[in-house]
Amino acid sequence: MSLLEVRTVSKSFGKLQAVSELELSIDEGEVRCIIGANGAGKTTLFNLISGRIQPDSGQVVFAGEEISGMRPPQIVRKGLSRSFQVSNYFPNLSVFQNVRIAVLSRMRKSRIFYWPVSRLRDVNQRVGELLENFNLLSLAEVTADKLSHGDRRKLEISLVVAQEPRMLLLDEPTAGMNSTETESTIRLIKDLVTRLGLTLLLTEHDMKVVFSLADKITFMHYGQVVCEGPPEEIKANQDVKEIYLGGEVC
Amino acid sequence: MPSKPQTLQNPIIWFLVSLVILWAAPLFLPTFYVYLITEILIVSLFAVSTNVLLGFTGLLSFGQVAFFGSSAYAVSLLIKGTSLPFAASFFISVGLSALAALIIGLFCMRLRAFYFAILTLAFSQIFFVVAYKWTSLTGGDDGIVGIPKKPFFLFDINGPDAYYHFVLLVVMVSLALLYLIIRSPLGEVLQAIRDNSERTEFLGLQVRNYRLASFVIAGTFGGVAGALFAPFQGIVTPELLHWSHSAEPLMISLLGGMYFFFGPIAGAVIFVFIKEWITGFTEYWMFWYGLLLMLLIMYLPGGIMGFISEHIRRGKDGPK
Ligand SMILES: Nc1ncnc2c1ncn2[C@@H]1O[C@H](COP(=O)(O)OP(=O)(O)OP(=O)(O)O)[C@@H](O)[C@H]1O
Ligand SMILES: [Mg+2]
Repeated sequence: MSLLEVRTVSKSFGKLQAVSELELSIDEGEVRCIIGANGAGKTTLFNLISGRIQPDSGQVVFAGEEISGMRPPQIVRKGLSRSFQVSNYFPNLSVFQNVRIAVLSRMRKSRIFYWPVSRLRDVNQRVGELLENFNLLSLAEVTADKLSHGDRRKLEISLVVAQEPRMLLLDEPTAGMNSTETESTIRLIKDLVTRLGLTLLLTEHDMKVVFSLADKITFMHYGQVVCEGPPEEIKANQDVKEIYLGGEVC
Repeated sequence: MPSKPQTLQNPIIWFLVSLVILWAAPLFLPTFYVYLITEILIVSLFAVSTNVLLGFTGLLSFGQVAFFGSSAYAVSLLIKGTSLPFAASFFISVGLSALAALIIGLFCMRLRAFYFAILTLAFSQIFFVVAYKWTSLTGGDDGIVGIPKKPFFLFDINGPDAYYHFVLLVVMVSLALLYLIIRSPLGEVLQAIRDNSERTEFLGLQVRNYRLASFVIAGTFGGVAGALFAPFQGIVTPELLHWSHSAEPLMISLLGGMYFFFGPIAGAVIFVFIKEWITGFTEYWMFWYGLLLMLLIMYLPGGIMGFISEHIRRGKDGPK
């Protein structure tokens, strides 16, 4: 059975139809990659799924429950977490504190007001593990807005992973990373997904990443799904070649 | 992680040392200064509580005087109008402030930044008008005069030194509680909301509830400050509830450094001294204070604490 279903969802901004009657169905445990040119509507689709914006029509169903209309915190509590294309973190808090917010939320300890957060051993230990995984431990005490672009991207993803969601939405996770950073990040995501059996929906412009990660690829153009299939099929698809792989982007 | 000397790190030691020093202060200070420090303590608590909203949650409220003022009125009415012991009057007044903050907060939390600020202002105006017009209860323009300092439980707090010690204890305990809250998971979430409320929501936290908690915390401790203030002054007037009074803890926080827990305390020390000093030779102290504040904010945008911490950091890292 599919874990996430997007049913004829549309969204327009004024005259611009950013997403138009889009259908998408993702199985539990699947890694799905959405590709498409700039402005194809990938981020808008993520915004619709994660509750950042509401669809004009259609529904989003997660684990058999309609989530369109819910506020983001509710959707997160159902086990669906996202990252952002433009890093979106807590600039004046340290890297450690950034991740700790996510862990506090996950461990349901964010309401404690009578005990110093630095003394919550299980929380701090978990934050340490996460930072270690993302190679951020040496930067733990650094204020987040002092990070390099690559480290910001890692922090962005670690915030999602810290929530231990059932399904992850990653919007161009490796955008702007150098090749070593990209490689280690992708290895990390891959390892996580296989080890925990997570479902992953991501957008990506880097085709190497796409083909190494995806079980299935969806190609979007002008807010609609043009075609969908396993990587080899998409690689060979004439439309994709014309519009995307050979054309506008590369 | 960087290691600092343990003793300097431990806030409990700092707390105890300052408590002992301040407790002994009347031994070597003239009464005038004992009054002044009492006022500084009360103003500090009001400013620190307001700064829980401003500096640590990122909420600009122009209505904090509603909790300070209504608690001051409530405690005065209870002291003068009932035979309740002072401790009971005190805690009832603080409880009423908390309740008022909860109710007003529920209304105001629906709105975003700018409208939130205006709505809190409107609420405090209502309190002002009630104090001003409900003459039979509040004494109207004349206010309530001759508020005695009744014993707190078994402790006689009449007289400047005794009342100073009472205020010192209550303020220190309140500040310790506020410090603990800011250092708690809840306090960290508030700072996350200040930095990026949207991302906080995408980590599964209902921002509105946390903001409301912050509003109630600020209102409650603002109420504590108000309940200390009324017997200290011996008089409460509607002027106490005027909205312009709400700007005071905001300006003090900016002056001292709103991103630091102790910023508003530094701000309060300077505010009270400057007020005292300037009123010595001109009635228009607000003008000079405003001017000074403008210069400080322009040249010390992080406030006094921001300036100090910047210098400590530079000293440690060496010149850049
Ligand atoms: N809030 C908004 N208001 C108005 N227009 C918007 C808004 N969000 C997106 N758009 C427009 O919708 C279209 C789709 O944008 P979207 O960000 O979803 O594309 P994308 O596929 O994520 O592109 P990229 O690869 O550059 O990230 C674009 O033309 C964009 O300008
Ligand atoms: Mg995008």
